[in-house]
Amino acid sequence: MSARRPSLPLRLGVHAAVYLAAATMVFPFLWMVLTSLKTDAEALSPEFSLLPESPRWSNYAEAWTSVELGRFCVNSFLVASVTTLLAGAHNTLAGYAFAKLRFGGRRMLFLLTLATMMLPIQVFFVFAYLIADWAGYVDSLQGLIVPFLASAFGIYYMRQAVAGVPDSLLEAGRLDGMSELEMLWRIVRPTVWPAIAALGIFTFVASWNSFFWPLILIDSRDHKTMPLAIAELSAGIYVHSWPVRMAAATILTAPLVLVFLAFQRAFVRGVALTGLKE
Amino acid sequence: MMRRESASAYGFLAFPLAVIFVFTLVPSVAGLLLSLFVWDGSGWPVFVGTRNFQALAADARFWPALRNTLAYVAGTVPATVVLGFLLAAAVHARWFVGKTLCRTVFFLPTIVAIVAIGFVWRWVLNDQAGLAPSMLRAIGVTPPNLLQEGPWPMISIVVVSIWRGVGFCMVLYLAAMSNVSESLYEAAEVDGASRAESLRYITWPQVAPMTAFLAVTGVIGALQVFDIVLVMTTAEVESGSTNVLNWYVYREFKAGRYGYAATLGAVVFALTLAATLAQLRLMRRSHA
Amino acid sequence: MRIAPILALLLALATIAAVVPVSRVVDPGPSLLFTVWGMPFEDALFRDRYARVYDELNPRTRVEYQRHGPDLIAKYNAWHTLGKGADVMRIRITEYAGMAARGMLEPLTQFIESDNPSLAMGVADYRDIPAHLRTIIEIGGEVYAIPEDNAQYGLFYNRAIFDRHNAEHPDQRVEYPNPDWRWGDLRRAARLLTRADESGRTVQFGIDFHIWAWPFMTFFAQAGGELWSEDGLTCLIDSPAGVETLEFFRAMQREDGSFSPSFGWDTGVGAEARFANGQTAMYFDGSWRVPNFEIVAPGLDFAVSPLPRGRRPAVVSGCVLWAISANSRHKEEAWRMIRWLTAPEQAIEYWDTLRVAPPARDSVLRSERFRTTSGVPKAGRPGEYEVPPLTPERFEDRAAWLLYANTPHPETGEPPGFVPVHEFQTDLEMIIQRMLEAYLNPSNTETAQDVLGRAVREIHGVMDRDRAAKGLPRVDRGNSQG
Repeated sequence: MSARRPSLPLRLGVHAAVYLAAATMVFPFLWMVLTSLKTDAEALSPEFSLLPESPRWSNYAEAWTSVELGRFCVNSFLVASVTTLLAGAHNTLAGYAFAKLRFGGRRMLFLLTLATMMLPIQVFFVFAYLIADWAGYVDSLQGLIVPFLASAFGIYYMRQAVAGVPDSLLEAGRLDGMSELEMLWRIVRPTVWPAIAALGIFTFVASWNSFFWPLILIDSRDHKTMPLAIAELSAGIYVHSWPVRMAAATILTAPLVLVFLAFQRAFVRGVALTGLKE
Repeated sequence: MMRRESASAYGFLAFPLAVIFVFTLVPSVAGLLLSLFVWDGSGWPVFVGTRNFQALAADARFWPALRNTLAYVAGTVPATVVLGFLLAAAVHARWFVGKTLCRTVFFLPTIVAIVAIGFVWRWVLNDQAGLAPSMLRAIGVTPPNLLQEGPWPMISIVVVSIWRGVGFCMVLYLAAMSNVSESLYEAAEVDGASRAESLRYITWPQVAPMTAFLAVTGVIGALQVFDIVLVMTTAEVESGSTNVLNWYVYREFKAGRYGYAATLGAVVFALTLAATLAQLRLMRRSHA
Repeated sequence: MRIAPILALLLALATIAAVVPVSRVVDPGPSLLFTVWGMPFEDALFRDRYARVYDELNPRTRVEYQRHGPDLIAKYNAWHTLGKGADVMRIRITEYAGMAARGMLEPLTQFIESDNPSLAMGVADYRDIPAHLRTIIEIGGEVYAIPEDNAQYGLFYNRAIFDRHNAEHPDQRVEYPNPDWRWGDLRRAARLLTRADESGRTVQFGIDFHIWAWPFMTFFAQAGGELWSEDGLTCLIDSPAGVETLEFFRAMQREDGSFSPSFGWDTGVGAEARFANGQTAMYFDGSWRVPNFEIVAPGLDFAVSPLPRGRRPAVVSGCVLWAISANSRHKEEAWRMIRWLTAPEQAIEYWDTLRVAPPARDSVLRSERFRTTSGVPKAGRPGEYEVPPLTPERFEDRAAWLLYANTPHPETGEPPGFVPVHEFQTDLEMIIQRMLEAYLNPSNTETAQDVLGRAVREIHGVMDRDRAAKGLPRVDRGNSQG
């Protein structure tokens, strides 16, 4: 921005404000982990204590075994990975088509695609369920994957990303006689790759965390995903163990945080690339 | 040339659009049409025309739900977008230390499962042993029951939603700001503009497309709020201020009143459409 | 080497592999889909003592067990739209009437009164179901489910607080609660047992309970009120009994200061936590809370008494039932399993493990096995329990009270227990809860009649809307407010 350096008090003030805000982002999770290591009595006692007396790692074992998180973890991972890989490819293809190719009905199809984001799932899931049943997807992991192999959000996002690639590059490619597929792979992809990575993270996270559709679709334990398992710890009118719930929440959260930290540089570059040009 | 382009286009679009149309568009249209019917799940839906909508207008429970939903949108979206902008502006400054760290940290709440967020915040806010009420008591304030009393559940949910959404806006704004050319700021500096004026008259308009995107998607999401309410309240027994439209829809579905649930959903759709179009028009006008 | 087309081909193949439905091996032979909701440890009952045992006892029948989360009704609805359903379904009484009205449940009278002895449920067996439950399962002369349990509302009290008070104030003795108490006795005890600190903040609550429909409905019934009219079309909570009930709560709250409400539910905090921490003298809650307190507050000296009575003795209770989906393909087999599940030898298992509510069988309540339970041990942690066992010494304090609701009262000749049931009961209970939250808000200035009138208008609005949508004639309720 401005080349002038603001005064020291102002700089300190801004840093303080931002870091305070950053602390509020992190602190609830810190609290979650700390609570997960306490005993029930410690957690519920009216006296405030930050750290547990002695870390109760057995809460994690209890969370893991009481809900059989192992299998759910595998299911969630399978569904999220397959969805991310395939949806990433298809959303990119569609985004490219909408951004750079001329064809009849482009505007109308795009608007129709966007419009699908506007009706809440609670209204139409019954019909989606009927269709899933007709296709044989009920109570299967496929049913969790197939409806998400493309999404309006993903297509919109990739369209924005691809729009940033200069048309001149593509014209040159066409003059060289390259097919659209080749141009996508050779010219567009290297530029747009961070955006694809970013979308990949969005998709993986959304799939990993999705709750409502699996709740309705999945019946048998073999096919349940992690959020369903975590939610089970709230079933029934019992006094629940908060530390065990926190342990379960940590188990649910940790993999995503690690994945995000690993890919966050690519991710940020990808977000930047969308630029959102009109 | 054109024909090859369109052939490729249709080829690329065939599967993705098929998926979206089969699993989202067709059910959505059916869902919208169902608002003209009465159905309890067995047998066939019975056509009743606009009777559901007439009943809606007279429904004493609808208006509070609508109010709560609009309150949620008004409370959440502007605050999230503006705070995200300000944070991005601060982090983007050349003299700011720790850009990468901040980008990562602020984005954390976005990727965490909503179930986990619900657990954590219910734990932080609960009246008996929660961190927030304990701290308030420590400084002498008697806190109301933040999760259960009066308007506080909704306020808590709004705060948690803002907390969750700010990072997302900030990261996207950072990206947009990095595309703003330096020469604009230099010119303004030469003209004697203050820092605040630069922010208001250069940065803000330059990132307008991003603002449009965040505002539109924010409003669409907020009008359909469901998950955060589910995990923050024990929704088997629901509290007045957190009764939002989508929850009303779901309860009607569980009670077997599918037609009426669809009617409520149609209202959400209409609101979303109206809000989106209005925002896009506003953005376009301010551009010109 | 042209990569792009190869990648495109791979993508196409992967997509096809993802999309083509994997055909599952369909198991031949009758199999019963047995669905329940519950916490993971409840598998110890539903899977280990019910599903697996029945499976072994009946080699020709396979039992497929599914335990889901609390929103099982949403799944039942979704299945029903597909024309399928579970064979043996666990349902709540609050869903029962609605599900029956929507044709989701198979009528069971044909089995109960069957000529086939392998199916029929004998008269003695049927009458063993508590009378107040039998009245509510009969809809239009037909029965659609058999009760599993009967969770009751009770009065928990902290004996240490009573003892301490009586030691310190021998001139103002308070006896332990008992079912002959009237509202006045309850109020007096609550007032005497409330303590505040120097700043006026209550540190010991005379009386406490969660704000939801049950406290209202039970006191309302005790005041002689009826929730619904005979024809079920009019809600009657705005009667004098309703006013009396609300004003009683408010008096304890505002005049005596003995009641400081906690609103809604959040398991683990609120009124039950205060009682568990020893801060509350008397506390209303359901029978399911007893094992909870034993776990989170093992040193708490508490006992449970039946509720006091008002003009009439009345105890609100709930019910969980077993039903068969109308879409089931193995109705006879499903019925055999239900008959087995509700037989005394299996019904007692419910009590023996979970101890959340007495089984819906009078003979079981009076049996020896009712006086002690095994509980549910924690897997991998010997000596620790999900549900603690009940020792015979503790029976009088913690479980004997459950017999009160099922025993004919000396004054009325009827058992005081009741289960509120109506097609719109769930809606009414939510409205009642919101009404209480508003009315008991410390700053609220409305009268009881105001809030009751508003609640009645609201429930009538819901009912009228539903009737209008179905094309049924308008209900004339004889007054302008409707």
